[in-house]
Formats: sequence, C-alpha cells, structure tokens
Amino acid sequence: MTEFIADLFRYEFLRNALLAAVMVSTLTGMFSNVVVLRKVEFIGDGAAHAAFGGIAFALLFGVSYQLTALITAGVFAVSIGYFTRKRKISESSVIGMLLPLSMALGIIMLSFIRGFTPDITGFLFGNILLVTRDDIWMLVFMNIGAVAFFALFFRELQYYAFDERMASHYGVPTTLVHYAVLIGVSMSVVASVKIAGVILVTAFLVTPAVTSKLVAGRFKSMVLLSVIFGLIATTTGMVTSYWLDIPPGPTIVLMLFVQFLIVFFFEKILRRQSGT
Amino acid sequence: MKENNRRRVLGINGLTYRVNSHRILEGISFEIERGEFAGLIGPNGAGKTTLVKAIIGELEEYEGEIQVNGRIGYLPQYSEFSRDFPITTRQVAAMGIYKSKGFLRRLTTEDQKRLDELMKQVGIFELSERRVGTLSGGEYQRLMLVRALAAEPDLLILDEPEAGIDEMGKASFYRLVDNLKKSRNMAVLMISHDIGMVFDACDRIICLNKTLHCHKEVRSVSPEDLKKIFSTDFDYLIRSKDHFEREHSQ
Repeated sequence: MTEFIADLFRYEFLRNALLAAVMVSTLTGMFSNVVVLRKVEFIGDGAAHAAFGGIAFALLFGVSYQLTALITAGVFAVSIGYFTRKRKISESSVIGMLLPLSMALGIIMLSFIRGFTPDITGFLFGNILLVTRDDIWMLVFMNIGAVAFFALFFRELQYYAFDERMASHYGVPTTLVHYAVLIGVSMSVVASVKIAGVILVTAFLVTPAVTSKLVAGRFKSMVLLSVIFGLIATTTGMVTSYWLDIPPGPTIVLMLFVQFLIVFFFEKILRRQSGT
Repeated sequence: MKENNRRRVLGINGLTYRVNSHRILEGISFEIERGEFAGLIGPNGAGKTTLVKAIIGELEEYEGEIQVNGRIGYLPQYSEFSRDFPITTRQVAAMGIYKSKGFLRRLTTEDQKRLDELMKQVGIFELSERRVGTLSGGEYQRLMLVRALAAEPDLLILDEPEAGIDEMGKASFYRLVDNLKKSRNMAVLMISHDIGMVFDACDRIICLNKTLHCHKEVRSVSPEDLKKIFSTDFDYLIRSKDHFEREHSQ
C-alpha cells in the first residue's frame, strides 16, 4: 500500500489512472441507479458497442476518439428513444439491433486501415496507460454535469424510474428525462472506455446499483450508496491490480462483484437475525 | 344551459377510434356531471380502457370531441410493480401534486400537510413512511387513490379499482370513494368487471361494447340492457341479484 502511494507521487500516469477510475465510478454509480430501476441493464452494453463504432472511425481517420465515440453513443441513445417512443418497439429489441450494427460498422472501418493495425484491446478491455489529462478534464466536466442533473431532477428521475406512464400523466416531463438519461448513460460509457473497456463497462453501470438496492430504503440513499460502493471497489481494485500486477479494469469489476456478494449475504444474515 | 355547462365535467361527442380500419370505439357520446358516480361496464374488448385513455389524453388520432372541464385524477389498473423499488408511500402520493407545483419545484410544508390530511382521510397515514413494496393490494390501491386525489380532481377516474382487494376491502373502498365524492363535489367514472359492486356503488351506468348501449340511472337499467352488451348469459355475471330483485319488484 505504501509503495502504491509512493508511486502515485512518482508517476503521473498512475495519478491520472486513479483519478479517472474514481471519477468513472462516481459517474457510472449515479446513472446505474436509473439503469437498474428501469430494468434497462442492456443499455450500457449497447452504448459501449456503439462507442466502439466511433472509436474505429477515429482510428481510421486519425481524429479524436472522444468526440466520435460521444457522437455515435449519442446517436445510439437518441435512436433508442425515437424507436421506442414513436414506433412502440421495446428498448431491448432496439438495443439488440443497434448493438451489433455499430460493432459491425466498427469492424468494417478497422478493416480499411492499411499497414499498421492499431491495438484495440485497450478499448475493449480498458487500459489505464491510455488515460490522458484531456480524459481527466472530460470526466471532471461530466461529473459536474451529472451531479447537477441528479440534484436538479431528483424527483423527476425518481418518478420516471418508478412509473413513467403515471409520472407523465401527473405532468413530469418524462420525455425530457428519458432522453437526458439515455445521453447521460452514453456519455458515461464513453468516459469509462479507457478504464473499463467496451466489454466490461456494463459492470460499472449495473453492479453498484444492484448492490445498493439491497440495502437502501430510499432513492436518495440508493444513489449515494451506489457512488460509495463504486468508489470502494475502484480504489481497492486499483490497489489490488497494482499489487498483483494484473489489469485494473477487470480487477475493479471483480471487486464490484465481491462487494455485491458481501452485501447480499450480510443483508440476508441481518434479516434472519431481525426476523424480517 | 349555463348551469348545465358549469356542472358538466366531461362531455364526449361522437368519439370514434379505429386501428387499421378495425373498430375500437364508434360514435360514443355522453356527459358526466359534478357529483355523479358513473359506472362504465362492458365485456372484455369493449373499449373501456381505450375510452379512458382518450379521456386522460393518452390517445391520439381519434375522431369526435372530448371536453374536460377541470382536472382529472386517475387511478390506473392495478399492475405488479417492482416491490423492491426504494420509494415511500408519501413520495408516491406526492406525485399527484407535481403538476400543480411545476417543473423542478420542491414541496412546501403546506403541501406536506395536505398530503397528511389526504392520507388520514383514506386511512394510510400510518403507512406514509413505509416502502411501497411492503403495502398490501388494498393499501396500494388506497395509495393510488390518495395520489389521484392529491391532484384535486374534478373528475376521478378509477380503472378496475377492485383488482388486488379482497371482498371486504372492496365494499369499504367503494364507500370511501362515495364519501370523498360527496365531500369534494367531484364526479367519479369507474370501470369495473364487478357488476354487482358497480350497481351498489354507482348512480349512473354506462354500458359499452364498442358503441354506447345505454347511459342511464342505475334504477332504470334492466337485465335486458346488460344482455345486449354481454354475450354470455347475464345471470352468470351479476352478483348482486338482490339489487335487481329489489329494484324490479318496485
């Protein structure tokens, strides 16, 4: 542990990686609540694969991957909203169609790259060495935006997640909240790609909220607990990965699941003891 | 004439709704006045829920005219919800006053007091801080009623409110709705498959089976009226035979 702290001061890449991982966990921790309560866990996967299409486009044309991934994930989010609302197709069906489409487009674009083929495993499974200062700034702005969104729209988000139809009947602007959530989730995914990778990012968008839902009595406490669980898993995951010299993204995912198991069984024991 | 308009909370004129030339509702016209407790009955597929969707504004592209004078409180059909959703009874009830508060506005002490009063009236005040998932079917329906009433409706629409409630609970629920209707001078439109209860609770009956078959006072409705809309023998459907014997022996 002391060695890890000493290296944190020594190496900028490690500081960047830890900062990015912490901010990814707060960002995805917040949005995971809406994803889990609305039962659209598939959406993170979809957005991540959509982002892959954008990353491939950036690699082919040599432009910033953040921008292209944000655009493709954003188009993906708005398309889900459009098809589910206008044509009454289920969210899962639309995601199931668009997910392989973007992945397929990405693979086709990668096949056009002549000569040196870039290593895409970093984008698929995460690579902390890829984290730059620009990524940190992007995460700072996204976190500020997400905190503001959750603070301002807290009641609206709660009602939207609980009962969208009746929320709309009682005047809650559910369409606005719906699109804002879809775009927020897509942006979280893009911001998490270097830490978690396209394949593992779903765990960041699902596990913290599933764990916090086991113990939270209110929506507010669920959101706070998700962020806390995400932070604990991220920090312990980073330290463990450094200590054992294993990849940090998958280690964080493992920590998230271990945390879930601990809370799951601990909550069961507590319930048994209190007789509820 | 002006007095009629003032009392009228719902006016439907020539409402027709088709899906791909398939007739769902055809030429529906009726009115509901303040203080009325109307029961909407009809067999499965008669268009009852579609009619309610049109009234509450969830349906587009229909022909005809729907006029609502005032606010609508809506109690939807009981449906299974996520029992582990972290939301309290009070928070769900507060959804009913969202429209009057407006976008991004917080609840005031006055709003909380009003919710307390409503929950006391409906008998769920002691459950106000409980998680919604721990409520029984009857308690949940009462919460839905509080949410609908929180909107201070001129017309309260109940879509099969008896679902999820036992027989004893049904009678007390309908009594409660009737008392609230009188104390608040609102109109109630109730869809129900429990014809016996509809006849006991309502003062007007609307018989629907794609078209409007009758809209009259409960004592004027005959078993023949009902036979027109139900394809099965009415005797199997009616539970409150005493009511009919009482009414038709007079």
